[in-house]
Amino acid sequence: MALLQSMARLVLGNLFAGPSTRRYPYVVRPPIAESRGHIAIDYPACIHCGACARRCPANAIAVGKEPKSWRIDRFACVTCALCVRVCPKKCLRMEAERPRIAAFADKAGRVEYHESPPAAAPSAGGPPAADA
Amino acid sequence: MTRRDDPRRDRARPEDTRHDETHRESCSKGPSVIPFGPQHPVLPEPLHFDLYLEDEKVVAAVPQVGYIHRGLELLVEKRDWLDYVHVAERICGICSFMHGMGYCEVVEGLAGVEVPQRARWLRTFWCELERVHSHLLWIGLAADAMGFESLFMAAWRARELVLDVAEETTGGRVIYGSAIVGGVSRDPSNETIERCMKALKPARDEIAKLSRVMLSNVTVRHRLEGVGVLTSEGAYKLGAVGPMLRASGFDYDARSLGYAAYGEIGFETCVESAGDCMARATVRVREIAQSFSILEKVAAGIPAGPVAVPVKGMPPAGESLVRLEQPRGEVVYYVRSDGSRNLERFRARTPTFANIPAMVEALRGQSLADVPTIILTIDPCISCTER
Repeated sequence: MALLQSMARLVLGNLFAGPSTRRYPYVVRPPIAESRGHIAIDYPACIHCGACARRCPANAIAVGKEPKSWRIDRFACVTCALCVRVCPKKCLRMEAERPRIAAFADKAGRVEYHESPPAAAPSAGGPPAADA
Repeated sequence: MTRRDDPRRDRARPEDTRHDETHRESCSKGPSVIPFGPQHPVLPEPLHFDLYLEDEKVVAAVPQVGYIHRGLELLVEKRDWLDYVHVAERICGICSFMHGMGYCEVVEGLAGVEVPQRARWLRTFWCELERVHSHLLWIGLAADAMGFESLFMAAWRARELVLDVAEETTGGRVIYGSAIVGGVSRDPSNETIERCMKALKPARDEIAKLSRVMLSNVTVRHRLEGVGVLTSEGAYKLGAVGPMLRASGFDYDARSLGYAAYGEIGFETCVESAGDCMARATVRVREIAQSFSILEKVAAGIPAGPVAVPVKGMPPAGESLVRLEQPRGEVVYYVRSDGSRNLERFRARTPTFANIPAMVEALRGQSLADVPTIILTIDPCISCTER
């Protein structure tokens, strides 16, 4: 009887509780501030030392010395935040929200920053210009 | 053309060299063989069994693994020894933090690093969080295998609250990425931990209700009681670990070794004596409640201080071994270094690997219909097993 009561309470509760799920992608949960969503770069501060590319466990980051560039493959990135920890200039950071595929510069998920030509250099932390 | 008329149906199959003898034998007189997996509705991961049946009874089960081997252990020879923790974490998608932490502990043992106290308490916190969400995942999978859909949904709904807390404290839902050699990389404030404990309260209440329903439900009892019995001696001899061992009345939990902060916090081992599927389910359900009380103790008594000590340079020559208690049982990590830049060998003996012989033993003499529940009650994690 006690079992019936506890089960009945669960069932009744579920009847009036409404759905537990969200209609993703129409309803998106606001990201938790501490969440590891994606890597962002303050590109003008980058010195192209390549520490992030060398330490990346997924080989997702490529740093070009000549001409200077910084590139991340968002599909390969495992958001471990190791690059954020090792960056000597602290120009890498973790953003909480997970980017939608439509936000990527190209279909392979690559996002690139170039130092030259200057016109193509995007503003700090913003989405890349159409150079990728 | 129906399948029955298809001339290809009677075409001789190519010789199966692996089970040549057994196959021919079974065709001539002995038991019939039923392949189980690697694709099967109750298996979340690929594992294959050849079930030898006499009528409905399983007389022997021959397991076959190797479908998802990724060679992660070999990567230790190529990766920086401090960065390998991120690879070690990806051995498994459920007990990931414990794999990362286990690697850290074994490497810290090799290098003689003393981990700060707060880091050890935080590691304990995340370990128990992981145990709760792993056991909830298991309840869902087991309920799904029995056809108890509403319990499956309810267990996973409660699990979602636990995952939210994991995300709030570490930044990841299942891959926490917060264990580093020398400590932890994240330091949630005491207020955050307090807030998380409040957020866990509804999950805890829900789980208390669910476990009452699960353990006293007539259908569940019918499916689990007296099924797949493993005696205490059998479990010990076959090297069973974790809930499988404790459900057979053997009082052993690697947490009693006192790694991380378990030595200071203290806990009681959950032991059942029946050795059947029901006992294994009961052990896991009781462990969830116990994990919550450990979480509470951590939240109440977590010491202040630094969370990591810097570790640099190359690994010293030598070897090291560490044992931890994962949700699925005891795991053993071993590293060996010759003093060069990369480690020479890393080995993880995972709990599912240790439990497979015991599972084969538990399957013997059972009816075919009970095979899925028996396989699920060891909570197999094939990603861990094959690495």
